[in-house]
Amino acid sequence: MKSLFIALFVALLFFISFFTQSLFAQQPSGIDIMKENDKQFNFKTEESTMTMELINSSGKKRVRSVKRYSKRDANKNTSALIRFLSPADVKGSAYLSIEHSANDESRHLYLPALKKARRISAGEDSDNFMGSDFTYEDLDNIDFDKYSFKLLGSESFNGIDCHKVEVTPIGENEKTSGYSKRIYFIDKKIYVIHKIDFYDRHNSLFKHLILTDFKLVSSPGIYRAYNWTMENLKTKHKTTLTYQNFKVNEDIDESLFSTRSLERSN
Amino acid sequence: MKLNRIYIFAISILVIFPKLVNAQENDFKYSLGGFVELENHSFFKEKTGMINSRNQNTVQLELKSNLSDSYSFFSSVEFRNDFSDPNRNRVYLKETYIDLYSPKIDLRVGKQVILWGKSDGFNPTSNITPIDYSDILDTDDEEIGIFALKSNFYYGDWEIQGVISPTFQSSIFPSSKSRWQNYPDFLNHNGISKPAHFTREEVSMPENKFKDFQYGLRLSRNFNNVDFSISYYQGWNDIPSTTSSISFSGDTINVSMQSNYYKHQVIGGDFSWVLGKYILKGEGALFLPQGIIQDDPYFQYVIGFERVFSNIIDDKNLFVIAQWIHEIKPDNIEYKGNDFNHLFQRNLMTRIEMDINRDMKFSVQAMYSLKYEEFYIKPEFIYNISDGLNFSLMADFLGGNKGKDGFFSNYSENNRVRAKLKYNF
Repeated sequence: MKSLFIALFVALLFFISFFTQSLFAQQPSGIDIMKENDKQFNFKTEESTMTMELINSSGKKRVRSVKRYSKRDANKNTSALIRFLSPADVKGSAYLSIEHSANDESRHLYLPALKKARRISAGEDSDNFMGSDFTYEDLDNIDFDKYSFKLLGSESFNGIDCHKVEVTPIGENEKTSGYSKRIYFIDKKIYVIHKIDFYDRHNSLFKHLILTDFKLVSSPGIYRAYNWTMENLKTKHKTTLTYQNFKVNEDIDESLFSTRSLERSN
Repeated sequence: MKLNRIYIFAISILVIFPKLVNAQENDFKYSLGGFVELENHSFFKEKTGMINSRNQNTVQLELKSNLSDSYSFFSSVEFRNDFSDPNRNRVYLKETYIDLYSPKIDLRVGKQVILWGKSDGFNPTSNITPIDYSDILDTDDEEIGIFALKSNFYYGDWEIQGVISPTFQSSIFPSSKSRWQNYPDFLNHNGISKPAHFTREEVSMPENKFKDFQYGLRLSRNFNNVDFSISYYQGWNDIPSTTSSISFSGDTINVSMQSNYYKHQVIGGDFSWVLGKYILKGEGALFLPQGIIQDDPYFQYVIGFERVFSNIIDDKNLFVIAQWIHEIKPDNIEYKGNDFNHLFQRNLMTRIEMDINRDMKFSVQAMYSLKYEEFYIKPEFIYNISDGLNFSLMADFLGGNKGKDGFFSNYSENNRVRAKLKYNF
């Protein structure tokens, strides 16, 4: 009799476990999906070289080439150094940002003509980055305390089965964010982002970002998109980023993230 | 003639070199860059016997090499040809230095530009590098490199910079026919206006002996929200002190002007502090002149802020700088309004800048002197025609109370328009 009870209890446990697992497999929450995506950014160091093209509505192009170094500490604070390689009138300029905590970041800019690093203010998250269609907010990782997440369902994008997640700013972030919401298309297999739709503060779709040409850059399962296209649907202005290389979790000298390094001319 | 030959040689290098340079750039050992700049300045009012325009070509070649992580080399040569003012023609080595890097110390040896200070437009702590003032309102990128050894020692977040220069280099001042050399034709003597004749005595330059070496030391640190530094400089002031003596020949008043370079010590400090969306900046320096008649110490400081106002019109930002510049001196001392060492005694300065679109920008820089009741306004429009090619159109407006004998009011007839086309390569 006792062994029958044990068998029934084990069967019940197995049933509950199986039921909840299959339920979760079918219906993960929006935040779970975004957290899976966030694992893509669990790096200690990252180095990349990319070309940025700014294309206006009449097709006129501006091309910038930059090299970017970044590192993340144990508290996920990110430091980044960006060096401008071209065109000639911005070559030698460099930008350094050091995140000390979630709301404390120092930013310095080096312009060859000034011959010294200059502290600059943080500005608004909704400011454009380097004259592109990207804002600083677009380039930041998601802070899970500042947004709510809602799974809208599944949708195929470019033939890839994706989760569709709505990300909405909450609390103080609702006032400072440049968006009323963003809708992410996240790969169901490898949890990378294929597309983001951006809605302005009046809840109209006004930008979308499409990421393609994914490559595995580090184990386990860290992918990067080598081509990014951000298009402003109102102004018809477009920004493309084409990465030449990514190096993830390779050694980068700590002293690179300092004003000393910023002022070095090479 | 010689200048023209060198100029043509420079252009030839530009034409011939790209292939060589591109080949070498692939492995990032050498790079050749620089710019070509074409400028026209036209004064609204003409003055007889003076230079009433600038029509200038400038080529700057910059050669950079980083053969190793431990050292690098940089050199820039400027070729300047002013068709209206031959006194501004020059071929000169702007900077040439070697950098040596080690984990704790960086050394830079050679002709170089060393700039200190955190305020904008006026830096009382920056006294090492002289400036070409031949056009007083156009001093952008007009620093004159000095031969020096600069060492930077790093200890944690602290940085100590030491500078020693064995040679003296003076700043450059407007030539006698420049619109920025303004001697009055008549002077008042006992209430009677009489013709005036000005002469400049030859200036004796400091000798480059060991006792004339110049030194500087600067200690700085970056905190999370604040950058600050304190500094000390002992050396020659590259702007001389000028005294004048008067004699009479008939009805004419002869004014003989004598300029003397003198040593001074400068003790300074500066900071840059992030306060929310504002950056508060301050810089001050105590000057201790030596070996001149008027050797009283004086203190100059700048305090101000900058801020970016985001999304003012659509996604366009407005950048604002505002500063107060003040000189504190003994009550019994009065400096002349056109004394280059004391130009800004009680001045407000501002700069606002706004993007019109991604290719066009508009800015206005303005200064007002409370002491002399005079102003300077410079509106500027910049058009980025394509990558590396920029066109600027700007104007200079000066004026104020002439009775106060200040600086800007003295040049109120020098309002002008400037156009510049610059190609960076």
